[in-house]
Amino acid sequence: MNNDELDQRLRSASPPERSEAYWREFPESVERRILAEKQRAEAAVRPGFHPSLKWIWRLALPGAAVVIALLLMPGQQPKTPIHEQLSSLRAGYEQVAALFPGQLETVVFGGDEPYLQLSDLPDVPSSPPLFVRICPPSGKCVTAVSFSGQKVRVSGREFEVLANGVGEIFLLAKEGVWSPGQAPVGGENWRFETGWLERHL
Amino acid sequence: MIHALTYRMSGSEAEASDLAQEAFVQAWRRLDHFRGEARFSSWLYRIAVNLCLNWKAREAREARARTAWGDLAANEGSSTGDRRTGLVQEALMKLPAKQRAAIVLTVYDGLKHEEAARLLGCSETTVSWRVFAAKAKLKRWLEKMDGQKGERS
Repeated sequence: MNNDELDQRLRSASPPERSEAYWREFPESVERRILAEKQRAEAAVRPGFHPSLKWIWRLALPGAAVVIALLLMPGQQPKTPIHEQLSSLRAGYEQVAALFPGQLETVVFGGDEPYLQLSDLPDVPSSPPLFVRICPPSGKCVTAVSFSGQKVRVSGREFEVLANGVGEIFLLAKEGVWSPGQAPVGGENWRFETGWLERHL
Repeated sequence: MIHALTYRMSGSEAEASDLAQEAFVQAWRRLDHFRGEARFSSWLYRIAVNLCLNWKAREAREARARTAWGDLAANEGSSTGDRRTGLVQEALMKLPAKQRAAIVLTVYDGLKHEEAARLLGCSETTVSWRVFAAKAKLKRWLEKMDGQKGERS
């Protein structure tokens, strides 16, 4: 076989032809990926919050925030049906989780709007959602829906959320560990509350 | 053009589709680097070539593609044309990626060695050597494969 024969033989092998449906779908696939990337980039600019998801949280947040606040106030019961309001939070969470499968680390409720902490890659292990409420010595309390192993940042301090085999939830910070019934981290006037989202439904 | 390149470099329709998509997405990401000095299609092509050369876990993917092509080539139900095409692709997939890229650019896309060198970011001599080495292997492999097919049939 000489070079010309080889070239001819190589050129005779055409790539497989794609269907018309494939060519119709291809630009849309690229567009979807670019759109997803743009949304991710926008979410990264605003720490963790995805602008296009505002409407979800605007629907889900008001009821959920009230319920969580009421739940965590000792000695008081919610005035409205608890199941309904937690279901609202859960529905919002599930919609976001469906949009970012394996990427949702934490949803933080604090400030004016909730925001999402997302992993760059879909590598967040699946585990039951839990909620934590962290109140710094000064400033607003923050409530977050998160998972064991994830981190929540409040007032410049980072807390790792961990659950043990019997379902107790711990918060780890550089300054120490908080667990139910123990003194707050670093002896400061921080207040913590934790619970499992599912168990309240 | 991009699909043909990614297919010849990956040896798999699914991988080729993923690579082509990725090339367009990367082009979008780097759009601000496009200076208009080259044609957009050449710029996109260059992105796709680099992507194919750096495709993650390339070796594992190539091994899978080789196996798939081996199966196709051995498939008695395939037409003669399919089997010949399969053998060529199987032989291409056995080449190191850089030699394969040199063949795809010069033989299939008709680029001069100098043009391929610019696109691959290496010297013209390097491209010439890669083409020479790749062709020597391809001739040997294809002749051997043809011989085996002849014996089988």
